[in-house]
Amino acid sequence: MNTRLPLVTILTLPLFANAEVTYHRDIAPIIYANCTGCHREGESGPFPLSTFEEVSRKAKTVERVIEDRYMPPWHASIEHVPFHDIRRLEKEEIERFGNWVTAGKPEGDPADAPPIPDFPEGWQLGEPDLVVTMAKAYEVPADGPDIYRNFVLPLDLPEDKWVKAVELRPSARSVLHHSLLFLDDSGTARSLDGKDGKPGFSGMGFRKSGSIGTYVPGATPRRLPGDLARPLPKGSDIVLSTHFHPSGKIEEEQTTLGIYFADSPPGRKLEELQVPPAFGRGAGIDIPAGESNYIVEDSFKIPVDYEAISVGGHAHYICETMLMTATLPDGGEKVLLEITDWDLDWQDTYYFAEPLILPAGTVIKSVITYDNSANNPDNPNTPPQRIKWGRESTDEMGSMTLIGVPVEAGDSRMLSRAAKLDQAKILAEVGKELINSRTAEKLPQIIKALDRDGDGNLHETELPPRMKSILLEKLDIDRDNSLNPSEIQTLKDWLENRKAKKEA
Amino acid sequence: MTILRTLLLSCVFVHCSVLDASEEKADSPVATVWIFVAVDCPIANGCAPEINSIYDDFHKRGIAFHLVYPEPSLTTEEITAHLEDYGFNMGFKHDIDHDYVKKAGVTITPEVAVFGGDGTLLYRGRINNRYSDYGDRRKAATEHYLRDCLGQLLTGEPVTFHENDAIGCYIEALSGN
Repeated sequence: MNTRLPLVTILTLPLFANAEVTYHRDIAPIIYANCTGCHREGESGPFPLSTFEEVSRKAKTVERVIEDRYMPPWHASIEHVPFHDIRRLEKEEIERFGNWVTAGKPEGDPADAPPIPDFPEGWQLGEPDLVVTMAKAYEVPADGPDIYRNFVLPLDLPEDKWVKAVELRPSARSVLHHSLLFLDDSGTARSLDGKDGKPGFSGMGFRKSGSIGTYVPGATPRRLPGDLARPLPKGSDIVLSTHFHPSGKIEEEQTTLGIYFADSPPGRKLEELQVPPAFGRGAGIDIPAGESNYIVEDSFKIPVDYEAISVGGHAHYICETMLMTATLPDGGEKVLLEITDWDLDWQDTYYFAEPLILPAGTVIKSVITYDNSANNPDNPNTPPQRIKWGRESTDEMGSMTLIGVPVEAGDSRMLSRAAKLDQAKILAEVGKELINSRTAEKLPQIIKALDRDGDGNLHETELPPRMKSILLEKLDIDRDNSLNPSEIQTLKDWLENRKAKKEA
Repeated sequence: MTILRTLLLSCVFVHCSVLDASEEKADSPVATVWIFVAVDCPIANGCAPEINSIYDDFHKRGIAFHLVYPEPSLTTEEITAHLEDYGFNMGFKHDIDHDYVKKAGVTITPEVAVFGGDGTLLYRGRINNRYSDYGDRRKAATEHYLRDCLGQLLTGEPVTFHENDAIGCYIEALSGN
């Protein structure tokens, strides 16, 4: 044995020397692939991470936030269906970074470093077809609670367009947390804009007529696959539904939005399957104070072959977990999205690496959990209070959304109809509100009185302002901004059934 | 107070990197607060309005305050711009050799250390509980550790050493340490 020891030592020494973790050889590849995209000049990261000096200066902070998986921001489990643009470190990479810090952050030989990727400056997808900027900057105060504010970007497009991708450039990246890009074809948002003396408006006092995407810092802008595109009808305004975090100093946000159009209308229409529908409006969300495991569940049977391209979720502060599964007609089960640590701050849309075919008869199910106890640091109330469904961020919502297209273009109508019928579930909730008010008793007379032109339809201009948005949102199935006799009848029938049941 | 003000003002413009243990005794007979900050830490910057508010409420009542920047590579211009951006009116120390870091035993920005008039460390930790973890920010703080400590000192209530873990960006050890 003694005679062999020197040989072993000689053989292992160079290996051991190579095993020392150095920045250029072992750490730079992790940083370039996962951090530098946002942590560089002009992007959303609060400090740059692209050189040895920059990473070394923040090494312990980086070590901690990657161990906690706070960074890179990515909340979907990756053990299930593969996604595009995954921003999640391997366990080995986290350990490697920790070893480098423990070893005293050795720099190593710059020649070992991979070339720094060519991160595009400015627009990530190239020059957009249309660039629009908020007319006036909105001042975000230095301190205080988070702010939710909507900003209208009037487009006045002379013709219908189709959107392949959007890219948003905030002017104050340290405060702009996310923007949801809704459409409003009624002019309501435009009329609300600036009414309180500041740019934009608060609350959701307009009826969303569509959506062209979302912006979350760190998410990679992506063109919809194939010939798919989102409709942007002429006459629509874009409403940037924006969430701000005050940063400690006064900041001014004046968002610029780049829009990339498709050359021609898509062959198949995107169909959104929201489970439960209407952001959980009809799911009866009513979470007692102190309840630590409140569960919302809903499912939807897809009636046609469906090609899913992305999945996401929406809830507010006290949501804890989200799970969307698909049970295929053959009994097989797929997890489409699992979020075990929901964070309102990082609402993302997750694109499947390959479009996912779900055969007709597949049942998609959402399970969303909430923690309304004092142990939840995200609880907006101290002490906890009962939380119901609502539009304010301190209310709750809960839904998961699958976006895709029917495999056969001809199935679009059937799929859309099934989704609308599912939405009709929420009538129960609306009806409950009406029947509990004096309005319910007088509904037939009210409808007659409202129908000023006597054509049997209730047009948007005939609806009472207070009820307009909710009535259109829930009852206007064909989305023509008026309630036709069959849509009014749906409500009447429901109320009559309800009344009959009550009397029985 | 004039001497104190002169001392504080001198530190705004003069590069202070050497810790003199007698200096903080001279700062205030009641208490001196060191607030460790960074120019690019979102949590430290997010606390700036509360730091300013605490300074406004307590410096006239005899408590001395210093912002301490432990990042050695900062330039005076960067520090001056940061003071201006976040509206800080108190003096600062650029702790190039980490003398203040070591004396206070801090590891994070933002983190505070409160010394009594005799130089005894009375409190070390977070300003309040607004941030409970990375990304977890309450609408408003429900525990005000620094304010409570200073209030007790002013009313003569007994203050025993107390500490908690700060949340924010780590102070990197100096190379060679």
